[in-house]
Amino acid sequence: MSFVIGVDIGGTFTDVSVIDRSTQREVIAKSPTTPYDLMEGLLDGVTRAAQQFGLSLSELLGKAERFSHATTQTTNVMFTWQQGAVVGLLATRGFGDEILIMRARGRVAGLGLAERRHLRATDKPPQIVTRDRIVELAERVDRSGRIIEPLRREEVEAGVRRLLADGVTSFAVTLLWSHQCPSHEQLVREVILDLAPEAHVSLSSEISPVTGEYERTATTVVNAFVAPTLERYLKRLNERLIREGLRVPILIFQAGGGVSDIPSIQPVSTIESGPAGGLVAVQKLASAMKQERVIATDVGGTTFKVGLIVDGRWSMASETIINQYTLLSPMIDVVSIGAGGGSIAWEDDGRLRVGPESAGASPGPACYGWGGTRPTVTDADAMLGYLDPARFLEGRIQLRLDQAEAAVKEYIADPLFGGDVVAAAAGIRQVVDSQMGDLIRKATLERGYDPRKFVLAAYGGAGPVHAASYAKAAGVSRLVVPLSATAFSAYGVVIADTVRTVQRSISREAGRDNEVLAGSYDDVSRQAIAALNAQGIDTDSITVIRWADMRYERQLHDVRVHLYGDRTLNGTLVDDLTHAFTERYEVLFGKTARLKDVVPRILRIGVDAAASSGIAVRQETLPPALPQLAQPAHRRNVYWPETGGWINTAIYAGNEVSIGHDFVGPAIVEQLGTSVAIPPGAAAHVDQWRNLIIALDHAGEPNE
Amino acid sequence: MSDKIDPVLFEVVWHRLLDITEEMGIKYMRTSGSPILVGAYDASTGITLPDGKLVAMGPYISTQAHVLRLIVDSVIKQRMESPGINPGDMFICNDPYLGATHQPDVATVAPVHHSGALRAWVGSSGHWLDIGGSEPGGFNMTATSVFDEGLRLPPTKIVEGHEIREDIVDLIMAQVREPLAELDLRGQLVANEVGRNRLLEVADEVGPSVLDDVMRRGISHVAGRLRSRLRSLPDGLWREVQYLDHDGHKQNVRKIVCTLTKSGDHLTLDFAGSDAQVEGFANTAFGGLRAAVLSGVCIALGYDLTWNDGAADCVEIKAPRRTIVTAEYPTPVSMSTISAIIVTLNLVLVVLSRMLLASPRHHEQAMASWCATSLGVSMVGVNRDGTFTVAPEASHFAAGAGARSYADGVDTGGIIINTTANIPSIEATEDAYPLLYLFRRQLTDSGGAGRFRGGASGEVAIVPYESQGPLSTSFAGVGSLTPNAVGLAGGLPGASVRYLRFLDAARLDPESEILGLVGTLEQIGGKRTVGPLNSSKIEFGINTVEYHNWQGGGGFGDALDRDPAKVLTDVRTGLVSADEAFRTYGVVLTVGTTIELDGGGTEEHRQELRKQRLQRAVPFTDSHPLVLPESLTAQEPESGVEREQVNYWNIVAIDNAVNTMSCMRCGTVLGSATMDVRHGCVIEEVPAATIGPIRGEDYAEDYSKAGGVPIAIRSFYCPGCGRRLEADLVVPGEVGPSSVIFRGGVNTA
Repeated sequence: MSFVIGVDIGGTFTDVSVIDRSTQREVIAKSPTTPYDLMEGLLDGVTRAAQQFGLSLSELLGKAERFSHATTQTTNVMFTWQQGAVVGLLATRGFGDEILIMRARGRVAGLGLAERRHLRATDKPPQIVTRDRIVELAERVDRSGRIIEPLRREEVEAGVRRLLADGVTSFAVTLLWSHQCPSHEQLVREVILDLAPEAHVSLSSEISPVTGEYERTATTVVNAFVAPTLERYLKRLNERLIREGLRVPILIFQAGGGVSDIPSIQPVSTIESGPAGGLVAVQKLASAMKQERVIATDVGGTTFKVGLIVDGRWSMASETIINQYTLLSPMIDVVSIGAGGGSIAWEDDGRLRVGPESAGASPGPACYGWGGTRPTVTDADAMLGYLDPARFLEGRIQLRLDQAEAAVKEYIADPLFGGDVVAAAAGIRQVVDSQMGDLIRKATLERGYDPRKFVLAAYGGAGPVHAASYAKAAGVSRLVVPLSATAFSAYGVVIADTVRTVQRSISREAGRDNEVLAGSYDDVSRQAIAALNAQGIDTDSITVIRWADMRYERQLHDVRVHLYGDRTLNGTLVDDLTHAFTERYEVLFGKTARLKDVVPRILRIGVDAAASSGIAVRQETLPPALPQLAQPAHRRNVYWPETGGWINTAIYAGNEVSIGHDFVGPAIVEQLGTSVAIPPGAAAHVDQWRNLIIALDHAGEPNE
Repeated sequence: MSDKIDPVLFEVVWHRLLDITEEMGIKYMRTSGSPILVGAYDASTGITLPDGKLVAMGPYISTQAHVLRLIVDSVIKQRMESPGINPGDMFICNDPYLGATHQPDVATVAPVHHSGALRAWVGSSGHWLDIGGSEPGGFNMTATSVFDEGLRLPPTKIVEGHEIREDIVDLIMAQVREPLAELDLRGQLVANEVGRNRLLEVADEVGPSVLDDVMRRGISHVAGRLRSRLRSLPDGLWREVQYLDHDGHKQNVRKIVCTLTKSGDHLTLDFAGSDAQVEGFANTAFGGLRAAVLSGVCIALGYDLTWNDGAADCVEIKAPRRTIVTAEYPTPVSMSTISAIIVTLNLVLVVLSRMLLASPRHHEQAMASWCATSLGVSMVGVNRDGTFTVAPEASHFAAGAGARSYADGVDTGGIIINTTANIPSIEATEDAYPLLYLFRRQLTDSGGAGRFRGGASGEVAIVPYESQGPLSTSFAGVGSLTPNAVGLAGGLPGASVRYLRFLDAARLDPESEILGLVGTLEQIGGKRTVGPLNSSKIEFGINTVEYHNWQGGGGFGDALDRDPAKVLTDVRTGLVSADEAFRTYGVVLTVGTTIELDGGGTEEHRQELRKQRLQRAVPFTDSHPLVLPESLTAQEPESGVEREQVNYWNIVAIDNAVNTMSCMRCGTVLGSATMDVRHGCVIEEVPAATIGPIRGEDYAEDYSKAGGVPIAIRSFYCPGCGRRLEADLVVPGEVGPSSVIFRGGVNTA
């Protein structure tokens, strides 16, 4: 017996997914996250999973051949501003303020349009480095990487001593154009480590070697801020797990969708890695199912997240905004809005509004009975019969329908629906579902795709309850709901590949020169492969995908294009990239946007080097017998807006559902912490990967 | 609100409409390539009713969306007959006398026909990289009429039945020196195409009459919310004055006067008293004025609402013809957006903030002026590869934000007209243009002093680098003499604009020698000269260092009330100098290896400063006091309506029972409850250039020599304790801001 273990620590729950490689059996466990010491929740969750195999924690760990882990540690530091390091910044003379000016974007970066319009209420985020912890160094490098003013060691020493005296323990070093000439930054590191061997040093030329001093600085400073905390945590965790019997190195899951061993991770790239786990799982599932285009949707308590799989791959965001800081570390492109189970419904002068305010986990929806009095989406779900009041989260929470109804009545039904609480609850659902549908539509259309040509995967606590409705709003007619939907991110963490991304900026001139470009690709490939080799991975098992960020001259938005497979390099690299760019550009912006006689420019090139985890998606054989209708566990009344009324609906227990089962809507399949709604007119079956496949338009052919 | 439509259906369709405008905006940005557009996001998009009434606007610059109503109106008036407005058409227009703000801001609108009728318009408007005319970028500093400026396009059909009129495109592009401006045009067409298609999908789905209901209700909902907000504010009259200190040709201070009347649920903004239109390009026509006013109203009062013409329904704009804010054909207006429009927008913000300060319920929303002017700076010449280049310098979009009633303004927080401000990175600029930056910093003492400090602005210094030929600088803007970013409730204005040139200050030849690399203004060597504003073709020689800074935000409240610990932090972080901490904030610091606060010394020094104010001050007499019109004074609140306390922020208490107004610091009675608080104060008037560094001192002397009257700060002190209750920016001897609040009370419902 050997096992692979994945742990995803989220804000509320720590999810664990464990697969027995010999039988392909997967178990999941959920344990409350323990913010004061994340390790406790982790150990508890893994222990619970071990028990399901009849093993102790040590027995399971001893038999683990892989242990991968997504942690919320760095995300917490960024969103609570606690536990971060005391950071000092060394910058080029004249430019120490760039991290404070934030390109003037910092006041509103990442905020929605409505928030941006409340100018009075906008502020820049808290400063990670205050001005008195920024030291400017007399030195200058120009755009070509030429040193026009050399850096003097004594000057660095004086600056570093000053910061050390001020209590700085983690140093960020960002000099202008250092990605073209890193020697000055390297000298600074040498001096810091001479004076303070224990100090943590983040160099921008290593963390984010690309043009754009603000983003490079922000990425480096954030790395410096979160790194010591993460490293302390991982050191403790590693020691503890070894003591408990783990014999393999811990792999850390990163927001770019790959794992990496502890010595080679960049802490900044673990921020917001949670949502990437779901995307990885969807991508693996999609490729097993031979689905080229999937919309991945994750509905939690407060946010609704959407990511896309196109041609079997996810795409990366060219920049990521974390708490108003713009970062350039690899991150899967996921968009979100503030809409989820906890979103509060409110009346706005005759309008029915839902969110973005959320009741969160405290006070929570009114039906939780934890003191919440305002109506939420979950309250509407409970009132309309989608959730079982007695069996929610295995009965750990008794849903109070009376309190849900009182909240909906007071705030929504009385002012807007003449006291009709059912119409009000159905209205709340429809409003939030249409907002989610709009985000799906926007996210796909903006990226140049038609949502109707996708299937939609739904997971997360409230996803399956709403998926049929928001999919319909977006024009999608076929749904995939994995039966492990509530711990789906952890599953993604288990099966994630080991990935190393290396990128670099390309000068205007180099971008036109095939040889120089090919040489640059060789360089970054070598670096990426060496990084994987250092983790004990053979070069033979590494796949390298080349990409480039390009744009038309003067445009400030990049388009990333990939060179998949073995497209030849000799003499046609620039042409290949230009061709790929033109194609992609037309998909994104239409033919009218294309300019004659204008050659796009290559800004950055990079490679994603990946070694497969070797863990295949579990596939079972469909039973030879004809599909059989599943047997409902019981029935209850559910309100279906599709037919405009209550229907005594068949309710199925998720753990009794198995491959080959067929369902006809209306039906509800209950799972740990959520329910899958199959509306009237829809049909569903369980496929050989244990997904519930729902065809919304039963009569029509599902879209491919 | 009408109940014709089901609230759920409304919400579903409405959300879709908002998404459409946002998607249009994103498509527009991504397609168009110009750094002005994309770097500064100087654009917007919108959906309107068939008559042009704005339903929803996209992201970025609100003034760009507020023009759509007049543009559509002009298209309908001029093109309905010939060549006709048909399905699949689009019209282009940048005529400032027909609704556009200035020529570089081009709007393109598309009618949306469904089931045989015109149902709506979609439109996009944005700043093009170039619009022809005698100066690159469209600012002609020497213009005396519209004929000296860029291409003027009356409503012109550019897309006919879904086919782009390539002849019209060529006609336009033949006037424009920058071929990449075509991307700006294509971006607008793409945005409109996307918007129209999405809107038609909605019409297909819910039917055109539901779509129409939703659009109209979306406007009336905003109007309804705004009206109830207005009812919760006291009635009154507020007069505000602002200035344009350069008419395009010379330094010449002109006034913009706005009198706000708030009566019940309606606002009137009357610009009577504003100076006549000028010969130079600093004016705006009515379209720009309207866009500025509505943007100001949306920011100050509509902050939690959709921005659309629901606001216009509550606002009446009155203005005499042919003033500096209502210029008429053929007066030039090409600088309007960075002069008259943005100054007016900040004026409107300030006058509305004073209204908000009259009600404790609304104090929190008030803001002092943000950086009140903008700049148009570019370096023109030969790039390092020998090609012609126009390098826009847009760092000034990192402007200082106005202070709030509870917090400082945001440092380098962005420019107020742009909801998504953005400046280019240094490296991206150096990569694209033959320039090397010496520094870009937050500017010490640039935030207006106050109990809450205005946001700091910034400063930048640049040298030519690797240019293969001569460079010249073009520098357009106002606000060097006048610190336009005024404070509120005793707060002082932020820094004014300063443009300096240092000749023989650097030698940056990597092959031979590198001299003059410095990190601060003080370290720049060479011969210091003050650069002329609104000049083009200023030689930018290879040994010249060019420096400029822009306006900081206005302060809030008396600087002597600022928490000394905050002043200490500001000094430690370089945002306030030790000199200003002592002089303006009254804070005593001990400066050694570290900077520390002398608490006792500070208290003493502040007392002394207040005493000195009263010794210098004289009684105030207002030659033109505001008087409430009969219609306001006649209204008494309904009996039984609870009267709400009306204060002026937390500095002046107003007691209607005994009809007094008194200082909340010392209790001194300032006068009767029905007069302008200023009348009970003693005043001191000093040249603006003396209230702190970078407040116009580099320009004041020349202006005086040329016979101009230097602009002044008129401080109003409580005669009892010397607290500064107002600090108005005035021309000495002339009427300044004033206000009268109707004390009858407000409806608390």
